[in-house]
Amino acid sequence: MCYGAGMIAPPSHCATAALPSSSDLVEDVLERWPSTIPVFLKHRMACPGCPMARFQTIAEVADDYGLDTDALLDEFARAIAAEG
Amino acid sequence: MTPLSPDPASLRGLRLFSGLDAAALAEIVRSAQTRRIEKGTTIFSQGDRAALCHALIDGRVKIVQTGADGQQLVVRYIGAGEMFGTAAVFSGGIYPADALATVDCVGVHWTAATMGELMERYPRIALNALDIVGRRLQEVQTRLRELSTERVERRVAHALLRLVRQAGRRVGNGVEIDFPLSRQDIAEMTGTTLHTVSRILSGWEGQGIVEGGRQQVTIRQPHALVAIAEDLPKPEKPDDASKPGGK
Repeated sequence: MCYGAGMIAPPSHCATAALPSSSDLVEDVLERWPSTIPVFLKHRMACPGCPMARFQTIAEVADDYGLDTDALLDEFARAIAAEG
Repeated sequence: MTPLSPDPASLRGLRLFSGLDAAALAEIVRSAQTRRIEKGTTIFSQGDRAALCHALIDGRVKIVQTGADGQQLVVRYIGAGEMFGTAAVFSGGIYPADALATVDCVGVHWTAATMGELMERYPRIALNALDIVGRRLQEVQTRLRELSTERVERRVAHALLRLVRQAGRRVGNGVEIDFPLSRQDIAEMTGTTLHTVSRILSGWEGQGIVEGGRQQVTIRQPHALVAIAEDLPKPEKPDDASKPGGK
């Protein structure tokens, strides 16, 4: 049985937003915008598939990996735009 | 173990029956036995003939295997909505481990014959079962790799992450594992000793990575635990140099 975000997550702004924001949960971003996955991997972030991804925000993991949140969001936006 | 009147809604969360319509669920529930299980009850024992497929509606069940040397290993924890003892019914016919209720539970079970008939009637159940067994097999393979190649510290970190995946809950100061969990439980999950687990957890507490009550574990620095489990390189942050740790 899955205890995934689908069951317990509060409604997130991800469902309607055009781009990820710093307060989004990592798992929501990965699900809503899979084209961001290569960005995570490029920075050697372990977020894709991580059990903690549904508890941590983009701002928190950027800090964990010593990255600038706004720069990371810019990279996400470029990856999403490139996807079309 | 008190029988209860079955309720089709209770099956809705079970992955084994996902994709089935209300009529099918009603039939499945009619063919099931629902019961209350008191904390501490042994639901089945290692070596017993596997006669029943179990599912947990509420509570928590510990699956414990005892080796030839008498050492106990917690194979997994079962939470609400999960099946247990079912693979044994369709494979060896013998339960490979004990199932113990760690809290008061509500369980439901079917006889092997009934479950077989249900699967023939609703092939979707068999496909769902395959999906469940496939995922468990992947978990087992991951765990096998951990056991054979990884340091004890990483195994303990992985065990906590598995529990977070199953029963994690965001709390103000981190991620809490939302059920009673002792250091002995963690030792049994990771095939190590209570002493080793205590040493590792005390070290992590000192670093502020986890916080433990008597039966409670909260991960205060989720990323730090992932970094240990995955052996991630340390980020180049100025404040990181002061932190203890390392290999």
